[in-house]
Amino acid sequence: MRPTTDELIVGMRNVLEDVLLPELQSDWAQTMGTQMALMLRHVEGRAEREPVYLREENGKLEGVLAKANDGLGGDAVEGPEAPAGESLEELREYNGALREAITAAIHAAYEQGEYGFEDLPAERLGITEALLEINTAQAQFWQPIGFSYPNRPRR
Amino acid sequence: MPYQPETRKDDAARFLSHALGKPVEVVELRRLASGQSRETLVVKTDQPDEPELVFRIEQGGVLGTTSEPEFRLLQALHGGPVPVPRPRWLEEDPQWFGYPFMVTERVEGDGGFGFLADPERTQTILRTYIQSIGEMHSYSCEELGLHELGIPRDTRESTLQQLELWEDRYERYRYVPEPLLDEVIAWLRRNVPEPKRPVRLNHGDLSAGNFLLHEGKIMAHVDWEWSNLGDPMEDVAFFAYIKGRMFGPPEPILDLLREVEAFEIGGDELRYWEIFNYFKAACANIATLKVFAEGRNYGLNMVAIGTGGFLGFTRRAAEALRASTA
Repeated sequence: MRPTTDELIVGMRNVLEDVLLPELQSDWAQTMGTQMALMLRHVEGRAEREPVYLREENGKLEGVLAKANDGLGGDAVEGPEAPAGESLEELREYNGALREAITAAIHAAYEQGEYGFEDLPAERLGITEALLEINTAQAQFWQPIGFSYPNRPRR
Repeated sequence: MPYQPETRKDDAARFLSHALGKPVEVVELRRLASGQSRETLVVKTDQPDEPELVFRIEQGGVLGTTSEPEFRLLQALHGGPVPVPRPRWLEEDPQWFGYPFMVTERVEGDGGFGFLADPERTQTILRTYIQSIGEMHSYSCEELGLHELGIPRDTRESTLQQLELWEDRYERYRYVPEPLLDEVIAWLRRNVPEPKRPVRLNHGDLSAGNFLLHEGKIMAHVDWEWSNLGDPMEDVAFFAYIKGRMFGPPEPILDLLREVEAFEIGGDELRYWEIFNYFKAACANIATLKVFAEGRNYGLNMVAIGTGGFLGFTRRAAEALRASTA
């Protein structure tokens, strides 16, 4: 059916940016209007992007959990079962469960031995780099809404 | 009720008529665009004896704070050596604006960010501000009349209280766990610094925009919602590593702070508080997502803070933690 959801979103954004925003008077209204335009940019194509993104992130989280469990040896934590289907809801739920399991693995590593000020379980398990990459990918997913992003110029 | 200027004028007039016991008209009302956790309104009335008033209305849990502790603190501080606006009313009843709020008198001064465009003026103001931070930390809690607020036994106790407070906000407001942040929390709990200095008043959110400047003088510190009685190294690290970046990079700011603070700034303790403050900022930021999703505040800035802001501070906490342990 036409116009598609994305075509409608683009239409709304055009009206907002070209017609409404220039007419707004107060600082607050202008701030909200500008942010609304950014949100509409984010929403364009999100229906297609989100499942792909979640599948990828879940794959990375599975890798992190497997590596953590290798490091934990006999104290490995139980991971969640992968969902039967691939609906957005299932992907989200699985994502949360994987994150729970990784957090449990970090705590399990803390229980395994002595840790000083300069010692970290995720480092011992070798998963910090992968977790940081996941964080960065998420920040990219949220563009252009999120104002904090990788390589942001800083004084 | 979401913000609508004309409605707010009527709401403010209704409340002030009730509070002052006589008919009051609001002749001017403007909303400040800065400030995320409170809807902040500057209100001028038709009452010749009333100064301009500032309404700070809660936003249903944005950044995880409430008005009551801030109001009690202002009551205790007003008239003392740390300049703050005069508090007038604390109102918990949602009938007026939909959320609890407090009202203070407006203090003459500029709370804007305009000076940041002028590098020389920025450095002058930075020195003035840092001087006032050093003064704030020089007073004992007793000297500031804060004994009724409950002074922690030592900085270790206060740090544990702060950790609990922010961790609780993280647990309440997050949708999914963030393993990087969970590791930071575990590390912060295991490495609480031993008490080395007296408990002091922390502003908690030292920043451009949170002080009012008039003719080169700090007239008032505002936005005390993150304040606590604790280790003043928290304020030092927060300003140097987070909000002070508006003025310039951390090291020169730390050097200026070293000139005014009575304690040594550096080493593992500074590193600890740098990481603590990234954690605190991440926890505060994540609170905005549920507030938005549940319709308690539909300000679109809530989404930017809860996504990009949260992820950014989580990453900075994890990276700082790595650097400190490398």
